[in-house]
Amino acid sequence: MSDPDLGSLQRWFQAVITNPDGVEARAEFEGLVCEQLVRPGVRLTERESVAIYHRMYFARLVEVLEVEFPALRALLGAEEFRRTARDYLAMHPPSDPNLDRLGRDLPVHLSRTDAGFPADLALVERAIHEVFDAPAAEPLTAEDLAALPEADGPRSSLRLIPAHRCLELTHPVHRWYRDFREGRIEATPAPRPSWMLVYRKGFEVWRRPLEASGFVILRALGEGCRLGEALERAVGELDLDPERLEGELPDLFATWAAEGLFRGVDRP
Amino acid sequence: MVANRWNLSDPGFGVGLRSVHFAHVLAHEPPVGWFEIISENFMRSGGRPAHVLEQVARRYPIALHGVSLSIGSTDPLDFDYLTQLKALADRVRALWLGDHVCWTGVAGRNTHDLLPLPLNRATLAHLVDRIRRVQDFLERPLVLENPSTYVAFRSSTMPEAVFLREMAEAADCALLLDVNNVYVSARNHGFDPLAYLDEIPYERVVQLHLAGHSDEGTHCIDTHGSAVTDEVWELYREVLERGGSRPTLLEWDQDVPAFEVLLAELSKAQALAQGKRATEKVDVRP
Repeated sequence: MSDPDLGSLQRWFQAVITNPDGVEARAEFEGLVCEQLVRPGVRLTERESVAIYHRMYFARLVEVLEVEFPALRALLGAEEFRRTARDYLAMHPPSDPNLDRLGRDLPVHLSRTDAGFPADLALVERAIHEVFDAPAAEPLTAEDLAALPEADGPRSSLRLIPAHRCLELTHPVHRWYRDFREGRIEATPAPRPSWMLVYRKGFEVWRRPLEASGFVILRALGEGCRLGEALERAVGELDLDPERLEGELPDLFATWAAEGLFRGVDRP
Repeated sequence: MVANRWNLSDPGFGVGLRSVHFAHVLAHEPPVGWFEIISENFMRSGGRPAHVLEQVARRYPIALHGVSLSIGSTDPLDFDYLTQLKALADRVRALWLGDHVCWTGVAGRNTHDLLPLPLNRATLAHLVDRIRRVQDFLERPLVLENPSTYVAFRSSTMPEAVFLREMAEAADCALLLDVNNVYVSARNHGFDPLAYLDEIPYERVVQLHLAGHSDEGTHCIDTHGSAVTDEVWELYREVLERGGSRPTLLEWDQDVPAFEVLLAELSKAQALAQGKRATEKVDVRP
């Protein structure tokens, strides 16, 4: 056999070391055979040498996921988490130069495998990870917001800081996750819609449960809607009493402003 | 003495900046000459890591050391990545910018490992072309490190050190000589590490690496998870004899100990650079 070109050799090597079924399953691939390409090591066969890279590939990436999803690992148990992570890596092999993107699709991967609560938990932990590393922004103060002319309010756009995520969940995750952080693993809660805000204040990441109305308003503002449009969307989607919602708004916005969630106002 | 052909400064002895030491470094400003960062850990970070890096960069020189350049891949160069890398280097006023003589993925994938290359003329030509293009884009020399390898290809026709020397001269790039990697690869492939060191063009070596490895009996793994072994200290002394003192950095990435442990390891390197033997002489040949 003549020597393969570099591209063919790299495709073979990558296929072998990333194969979930092990080196043997791909030692012969696209007409290339391990023993014809690799020299034996001092004390290892050709396949044993290649297997070092195979072990390191999965060990390293699973470890990254374990660090990013500690609550999910605690829920599933170490063995099941490793199996889930390897399935995920087989379906979503990494492509980004930065390992911080590795777990980006794990929540979706879990939701597709009919795992309601684990998928919710993965969504929360992924949000925490993203918010931790999101760009910093100087937040508006409650006074800045109070200075906004009342007449401009509905036509203004409130810009949110990049370090936030609004989550729509199928289970009440907030309390379970709080217990986990305090060292307790409670029973999986029964399914019930819940909403959560994950955001960074200074360098610390916080979680706050949301009502459906708060979730819809923040999501709409995050999409660039003007304040009036965001409120209309909440009333329409949730069939709310507009007057009642309006009564709740001052407290809601005061809380969000105090938590540093807004970074700017675009006036009409 | 001009230690390298680019007149790059010699910041002395440094360690890799790791998140477990952020608070210690900011609070105590430990006596190290410089820090090296893993470039990708900071390229897109905007939270506390970015803040810490900004603070550290005000107090210490910083070198960038990447793991995802994939200079040996047959995939096209990733100019989005290079743009972010250049921006980070400018932001921290990097001493220099390094990565590894390896590839990390192909067909759009990234295995996040430093994968081995066949060491032959075709690979050399491929690498030299890409290094030149990357250097043109980054507007500075690349500092490329010899990786630890666990596989050697039958299509390799050149000893690694000869390959590195020819690569560095043809591409006009700099080298980072990882002394631990020389030892690990020598053990795994059965070559003489002293003969390897004889081939290195020291005027192109702008940095040395020291780290720990694990000895699995049948092979060694570059773990960065323990103290530097006596054999690697001996090899470091051989490097100093051949090339003179060079900026030296200690890497420790697994089971990272207290900062004082790193300082103690660095002091051994300093002692050797000053001509003092830190350990008993040991045979480093496989």
